[in-house]
Amino acid sequence: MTVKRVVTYPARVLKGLAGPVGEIGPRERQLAQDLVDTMYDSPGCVGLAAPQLGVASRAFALDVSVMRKPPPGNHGLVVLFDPELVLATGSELAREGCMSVPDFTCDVRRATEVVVRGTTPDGEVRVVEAGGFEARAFQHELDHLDGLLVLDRVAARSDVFPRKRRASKGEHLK
Amino acid sequence: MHELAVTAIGTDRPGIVAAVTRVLQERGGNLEDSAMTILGGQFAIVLLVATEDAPEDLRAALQAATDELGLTVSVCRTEGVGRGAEATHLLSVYGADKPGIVAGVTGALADVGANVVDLETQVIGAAEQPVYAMVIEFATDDPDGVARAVATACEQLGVDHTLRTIDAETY
Repeated sequence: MTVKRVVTYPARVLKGLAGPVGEIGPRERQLAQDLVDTMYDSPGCVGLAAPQLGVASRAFALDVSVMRKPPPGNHGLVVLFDPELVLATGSELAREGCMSVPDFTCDVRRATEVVVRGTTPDGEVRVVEAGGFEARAFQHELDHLDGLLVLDRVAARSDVFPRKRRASKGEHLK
Repeated sequence: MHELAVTAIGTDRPGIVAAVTRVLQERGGNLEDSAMTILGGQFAIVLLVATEDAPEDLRAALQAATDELGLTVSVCRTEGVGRGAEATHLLSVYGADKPGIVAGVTGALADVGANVVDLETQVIGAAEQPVYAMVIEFATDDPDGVARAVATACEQLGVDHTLRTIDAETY
């Protein structure tokens, strides 16, 4: 079990384009383990992308089943390398937070249904169809691989809110 | 009837809005538009009122009625009644907290004739690493010129930014 420190803005790794993972070896599997361990160790965290651990690689871990009210039909733990957004439909505005921009949430418009394709740490291609909050979490993590933070997604001044209180476990995205 | 602009600001406490608007109501004024919010520990009111009052009379009445609240009140005439500009674009700017971000970015907007409609700033992030965040809604008919001017300004300031048209879908 290796819990890493989560990198916060203005660290430049959060604003860059992460590079492809490609071939999966021991180092890549360790990155996957670090993402999972650090995600589960962080209260309220339902997803973590490699740039948030200071690693400019296209990888993330995600698990919305740890939420207080787990979204029905969610996929539990998903770890993907070189993920791609294959399809995105629908549109919904909802509040998001991010461990890399602590103590801040804002409203972000996201697709409500997504299809994401990537490679698992075992080297298998995995296609995930996600909806609702899980779809939102995928899009949040995918954004991290392209150097986009929630502040790049606000669509109106009124979308930006101060956080009223700290999150209890599973309350919002990280 | 003419239109007056009223500002009132003071240390926040319950009853400020009630006290100010009661005076307007009692004197037959009609509240046309307003923005009222907390800034730090201060409560700030800016409003437009349609009224028969002379500016100095309304100011004296407001000051007298809000004396115990310790408000600083100003009243002045506006030049004509009209609709404000409609925002066409939204600019999100953020970076490590440092002086000059607002001046630098709004200076770039002014240089290309963009008209700020709404601007809000916040210091966010962890206490040991504050991040200055600013969201500006503005009107322009030269989006390309704005994009270039803002990119240059933000690079000089060392801050990140995103520029988008208002109501653009973002997924």
